[in-house]
Amino acid sequence: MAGPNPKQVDTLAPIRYLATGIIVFSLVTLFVIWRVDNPRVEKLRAEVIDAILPKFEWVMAPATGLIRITQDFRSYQSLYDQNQELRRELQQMKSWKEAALQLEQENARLLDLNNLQLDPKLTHISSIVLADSGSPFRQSVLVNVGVQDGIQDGWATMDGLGLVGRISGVGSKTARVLLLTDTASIVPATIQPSGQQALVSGDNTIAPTVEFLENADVVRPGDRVETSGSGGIFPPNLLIGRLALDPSGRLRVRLAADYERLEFLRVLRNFGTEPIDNPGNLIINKNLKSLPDDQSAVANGT
Amino acid sequence: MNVKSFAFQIIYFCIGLLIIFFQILPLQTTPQTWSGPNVLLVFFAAIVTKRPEFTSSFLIAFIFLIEDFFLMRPPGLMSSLTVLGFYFLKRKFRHQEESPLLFGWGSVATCLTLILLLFYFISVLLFIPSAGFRLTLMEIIVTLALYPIFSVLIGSFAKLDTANAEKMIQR
Repeated sequence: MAGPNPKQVDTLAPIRYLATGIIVFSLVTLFVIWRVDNPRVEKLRAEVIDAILPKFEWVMAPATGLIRITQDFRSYQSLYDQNQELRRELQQMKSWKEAALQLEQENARLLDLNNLQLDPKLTHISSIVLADSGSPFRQSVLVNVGVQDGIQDGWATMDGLGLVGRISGVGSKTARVLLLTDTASIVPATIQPSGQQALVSGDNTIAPTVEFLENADVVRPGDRVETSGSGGIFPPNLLIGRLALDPSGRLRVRLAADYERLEFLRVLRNFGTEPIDNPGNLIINKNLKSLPDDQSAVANGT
Repeated sequence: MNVKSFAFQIIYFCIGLLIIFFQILPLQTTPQTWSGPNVLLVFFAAIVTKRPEFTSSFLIAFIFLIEDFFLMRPPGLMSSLTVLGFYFLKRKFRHQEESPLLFGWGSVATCLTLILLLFYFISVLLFIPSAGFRLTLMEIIVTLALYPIFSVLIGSFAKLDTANAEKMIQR
């Protein structure tokens, strides 16, 4: 029992050899299929995660909470410093609050004057972050909403303050959010107030780089970076963050969203703006097509 | 013997799932400038060297494929490399009862390094976005450093188990 029987090993060895060969072959095949037909295998990935993860949802939140409490406990050592800092920040915030209130009133008045309707489509679905990608090489999180909640691939995801990422991969109960910091993430952006167009692309650091800027002379560190909405992926004018210059002289975005604590995310419903490819569509509404239809029939008849 | 091996494999599988579970807890959502060890790889390397009779290629393929899926790695690449590497490792360790610690560590280190390096180079060759060489190197070093701890832990469990088994036989 204790020592392996050499005869037994010999009889089993070819089988083991063959089985390992088959397993390796099928794994390599899966990898090759992934490389060739990426979307289908990524869909399979979303389904696998969707099958496993919701079963662990009940234990995921308490485990995360407990570990965070112990992490917070360590920061109690610097409680006094933190308190002082918070008081200072509060003073500043109070003045900002005053300014914001005044601006809000002014904005409401102006909107009322213009009789402006806010787009009712821009509503959001709130979600809880279940898990992250688990490796330092990939920046994404899993949230607890999916096809059942009407989530679609490509929708923008924000926390309370700024853009966090986009939906990339949806299962029936879970969805993956590709963060702006991932190397695969590229977002078209506008830099305000100069209105310069650029691309914000992640490079696995906390601050994504700003690339393909038309004219770097007119932007300054501290400028607001917003989504431009070009490409039709994201709705325009979502706050991404503020421009910053890194020591090597490259422009980066200091993200507005709090990436340290991604707990709740809102997924923006965005069915895309209707493309206008023909100047006439701008004037003739598609919904009113029944009316011009019989008119055109008359015109054709004569 | 077969039932026991099967039971152990289920236990190892559950521990593997637990490791993945702790890895994907959303504690660190900012990009890191350092890389932690590949715990699952070390854990199974220790099992393969200390209890080669209680592992199978199927178990290793299954758990690493799940990890591939969850950690957003290209599915099948890391798992196939691991199955291959551990197969050779197992064949090496099956034939000797008690290997000297340094020799064991050396061959495991070679195997793990090869797996992680090959994974990196294949990713680069096929234009799959990867973490960069610095992070990969760091991962290799930390992973190798973690191996002796796991090895001693699982080795002590193995000794306990065999002692129990011998007692059973004596009865």
